[in-house]
Amino acid sequence: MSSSDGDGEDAMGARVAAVIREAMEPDAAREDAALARGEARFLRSQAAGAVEKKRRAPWAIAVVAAGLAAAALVLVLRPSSPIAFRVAGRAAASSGYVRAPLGAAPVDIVFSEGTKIVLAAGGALRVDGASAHGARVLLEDGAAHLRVNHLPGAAWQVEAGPFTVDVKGTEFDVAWSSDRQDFSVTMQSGEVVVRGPLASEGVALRGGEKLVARLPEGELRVTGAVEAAPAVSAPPPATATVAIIERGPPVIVAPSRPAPRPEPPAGDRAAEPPWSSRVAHGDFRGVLASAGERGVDDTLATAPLTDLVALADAARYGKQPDLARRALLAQRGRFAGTPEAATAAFLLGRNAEDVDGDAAAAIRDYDAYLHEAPDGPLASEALGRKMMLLRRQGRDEDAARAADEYVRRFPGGAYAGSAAKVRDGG
Amino acid sequence: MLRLAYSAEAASAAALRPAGPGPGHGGLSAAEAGAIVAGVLARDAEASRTLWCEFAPLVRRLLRRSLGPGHEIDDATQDVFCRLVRSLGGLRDPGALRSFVIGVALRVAGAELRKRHALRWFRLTPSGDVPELPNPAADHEMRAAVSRFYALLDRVGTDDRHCFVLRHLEELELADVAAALDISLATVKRRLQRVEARVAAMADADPILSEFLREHAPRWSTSLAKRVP
Repeated sequence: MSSSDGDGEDAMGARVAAVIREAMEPDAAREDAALARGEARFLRSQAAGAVEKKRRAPWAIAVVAAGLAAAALVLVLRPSSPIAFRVAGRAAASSGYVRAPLGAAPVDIVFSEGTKIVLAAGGALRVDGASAHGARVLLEDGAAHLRVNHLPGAAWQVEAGPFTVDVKGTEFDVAWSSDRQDFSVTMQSGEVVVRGPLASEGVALRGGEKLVARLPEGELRVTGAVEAAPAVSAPPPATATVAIIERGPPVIVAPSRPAPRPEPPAGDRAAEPPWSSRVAHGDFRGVLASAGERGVDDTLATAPLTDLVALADAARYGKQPDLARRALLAQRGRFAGTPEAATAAFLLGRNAEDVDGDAAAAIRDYDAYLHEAPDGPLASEALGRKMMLLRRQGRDEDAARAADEYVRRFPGGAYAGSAAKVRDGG
Repeated sequence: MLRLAYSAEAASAAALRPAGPGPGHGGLSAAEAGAIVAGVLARDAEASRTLWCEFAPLVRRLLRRSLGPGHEIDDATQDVFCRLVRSLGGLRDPGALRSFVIGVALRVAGAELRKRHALRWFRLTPSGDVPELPNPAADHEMRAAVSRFYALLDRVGTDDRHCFVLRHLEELELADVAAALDISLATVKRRLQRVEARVAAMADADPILSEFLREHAPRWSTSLAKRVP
């Protein structure tokens, strides 16, 4: 290894060090200001040092004691770590994906705070977004029985196809068939609220009730104690046990996936780490393959935001710009208003600029980012790129306006030099 | 009392200069360094100011490069100087002031890294990750590459990380690395050999980073290709 022998130039590469150094180089004006502020602070502390030292001594024990008490409080009251779960009969599951093969026994998923899910054979679900108070469970297919421990602040959500079930503490069965587009919730106890295409306002369900939705027929029924259903306008007949609470045109929310579902390529899919983690480790092909396995359309229509972000990244880095664009558009369509959706606008701009050479589209996307995240981490780059594209299009006045804004907002930014030239007509 | 001229502009310019002797970069003569040390120990404000002016750019740059993006360095810099003032009495050779300052800065950087790991361990944030602060890299791809590079450095030990940073980012001579870390030259070489191999292998295994480096640092990529089977 030549670097350690004193010949560092080739082995570790002066260029890579230069790249990192350049990237870490601060803005000179800000650095000057920070140095000046720091100097004043240091000199103040030095001037106060002797006095503070004498005065601090009597307080030292109290301060240390308070610190220890605070640390103890933090340990007791800190937002506890996300609840953990394990799949019965297996080692602790590091991934959220659980599948119960057809013909096999149901799979028990046990959470650290006492909640238990039994996934029926043939089902597949993903435990996603676990927090200290609950988790989001994405029922991809099949049926599951949930017994959610009713603890203070409990916050659980089950997503099944286009439906969501908000849960505090209860026991119920939930089923979703992506092929038939059927959804049902059967309550044993407690209360949940179901939202979805035929229940946009939310339908509250209590113990003994059952909700069945058939999307192709545009039908949603609640059976059992119908008085609990808020959408029922007329009192039901005394003997009625069935009420159609809403009927609309057929709704198809996502294309059916081919059946039977393809088997995982190898091993147990429950052992798969989350997509974001796989992308972080460079497993782009694996994520793209998993998306293909789940069905790209289905993934784009139903995957949680974290998976969509990971899929877009995997597609970008995996040189699949069309899929990247679709994943970014899905983020913007399904999760509008989130920081991820704003970032997706920026990345769509990059895609339009670099892949399609479509400057007009790129400018629109950069504008969208700047509108949604005016102080976002990519604002400087979005404005700089927009300015350069405007100039390339010959829109000198617009470019000059953008340059003026850039110089005003980001005087030390990467495009500051170019902006000054553009503004001055250079 | 020794008085070295100072301006923020000069300090900033000094920070950009490569390591080595020279004004504004800790390139003081032993006599000048001795005067500063004596003055600071005697609580002379002018000496404290000179100490700051002479070494703050170096300390800030070192902290920035050691810790990577996402770290607030203002407080860490103050911490370095407070520790420095407290420990200057133990400096036997004023001529070694620069190495001494670097050593203190690296100890503070190490403490910051441990704190970060502890925060992650205690999961004081929902994801267990510490929220990221702005990354100075302007370009989106460069920002991603730099973040991944430092994520990779997070996976090597603190001592090895310091060696790597001093040698490759600060471009110190091996002897200066040894002096700053207070270890032998042989140990520096051994650590560098270990950390370079590890960093090279990890960078090569990272598709984003390796592609970025292929594009921006082809010589390094070539050397990677030779080194990583």
